[in-house]
Amino acid sequence: MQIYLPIAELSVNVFLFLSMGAGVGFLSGLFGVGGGFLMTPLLIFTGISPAVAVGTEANQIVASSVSGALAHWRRGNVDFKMGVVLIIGGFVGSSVGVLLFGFFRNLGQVDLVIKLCYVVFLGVIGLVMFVESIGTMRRNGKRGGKPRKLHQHIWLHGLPFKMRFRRSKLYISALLPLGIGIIVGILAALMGVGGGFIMIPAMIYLLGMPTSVVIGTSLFQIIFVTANVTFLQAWHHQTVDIVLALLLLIGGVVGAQIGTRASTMLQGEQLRTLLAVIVIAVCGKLVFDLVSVPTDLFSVAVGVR
Amino acid sequence: MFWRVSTTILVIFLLPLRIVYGQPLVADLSQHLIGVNAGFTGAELLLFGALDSSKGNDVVVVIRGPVSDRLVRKKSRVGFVWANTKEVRFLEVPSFYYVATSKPMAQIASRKVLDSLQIGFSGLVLKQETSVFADRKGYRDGLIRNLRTDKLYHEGQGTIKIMKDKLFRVGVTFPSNVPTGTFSVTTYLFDQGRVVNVQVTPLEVSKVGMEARLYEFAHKYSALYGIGAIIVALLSGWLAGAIFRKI
Repeated sequence: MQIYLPIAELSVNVFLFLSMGAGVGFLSGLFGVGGGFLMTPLLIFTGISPAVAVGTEANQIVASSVSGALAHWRRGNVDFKMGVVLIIGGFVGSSVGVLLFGFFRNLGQVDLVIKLCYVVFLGVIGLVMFVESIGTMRRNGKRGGKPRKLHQHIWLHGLPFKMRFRRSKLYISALLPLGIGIIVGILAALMGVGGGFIMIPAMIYLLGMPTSVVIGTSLFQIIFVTANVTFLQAWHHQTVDIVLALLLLIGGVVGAQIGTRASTMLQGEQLRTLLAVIVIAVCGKLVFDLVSVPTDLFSVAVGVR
Repeated sequence: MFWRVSTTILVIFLLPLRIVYGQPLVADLSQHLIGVNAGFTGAELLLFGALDSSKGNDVVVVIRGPVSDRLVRKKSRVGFVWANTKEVRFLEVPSFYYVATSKPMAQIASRKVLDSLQIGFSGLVLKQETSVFADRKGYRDGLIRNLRTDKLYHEGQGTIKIMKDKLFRVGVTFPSNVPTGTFSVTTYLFDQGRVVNVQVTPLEVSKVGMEARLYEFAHKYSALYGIGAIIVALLSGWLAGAIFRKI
């Protein structure tokens, strides 16, 4: 069954997109990421223009994150105070990101910029996560490790504007989550992602938050930042296709609920290892696409002045 | 009696004369409006008509969509990656271009005549804005090749069927990503390499129904559309959560 997408201006197979949404939604609930870093490239591969893919995906992430965040909230796994600070940074970052997006689009380099961003961030984070979580799993396997401290303090925690984050049992500088929020926001707007794949390692390693709270809080932040990206992309560039978003969303919210339930069955370290493997795989595919000879050296775009 | 007979004979002779002097060529489309709605997967139209074979034997159909500027970008290797390094802007490029002929083009008229009417890919006038010193042909070919892959550009020689030297027909396929606007559909009757008659038929492609209203809303009230999209997403997320709790 086919349906015509009014903003993307082409007709697509309904069932294909429903299952894409479900698959990526499952990952969203499982890892506490938006899933955008998989969905946006997938959309582009199926023929949707990158601009519409980024704007529409932001819209879909709002829905699947709400679904996942509510489930985590009901289990008491969201640090709202930390979330709000991250959100403030995210609003600033995503607004800047949408402006950058428009700038690159006019230069004709938006495809390249998006792919390079993915390669760099996915590559670095994937490797770091993989190495660290394998190490943690090995350590937990041994008997009798010395009792570990609640978390480790690094110099970044000592920056001004210290705040108490009770749910995470932290007393650290608010500038840190604010900065993380800004960076994540810029990436969210440029790449059509929620930013979870940056935020979660940052929350665990830089902020020192307990793993149980990380997923729910990250989903909470993603809702607001991707809502902002959706709004700005729709308003400035008219690149949000609500029919496409609905298709992906219906599959996505269902998948997210299943994924959230599945996440309680796996340990934190196992989850991180799995996620690291997926991240590295996507990074590898992107590098291959960038480096291999393109099928057509020439590409055509509509020229607006 | 004499007058009745002669009037009848005169009318019988005048009828074919009307066809001969008035209408050597008649052309029409199976539909004049392509409405793009929710279930749109493309459209197949029929272009048909009648011709007077004593006036000409060869039929050519050209369909052009609304024009717009196109940017053609060329990739080259930058370090390890392939990136868009050069760009050429083409002006007034038809967003849709379809040519069909009853015989191979070379047999209908000379290249000069066909080019002057912009019949055929090689005859298409595609103005470049910047003067590119190298590979001018490469950019033009790249543009046409990309549009052909999208099924927006089509050249079919010998696809028009002429029956009993009087009727002709040809199918025209419009892909699902067809641009909206006013299209010009021109049918030519050729006789020994020269145009004898031209017929123009109207064709309009427009979004209809809810899809059209969504598109308009997204463009006219962009901010409201954005907020609406967010609300829909928030509600669906919450709704899915509520449904799953019951399960």
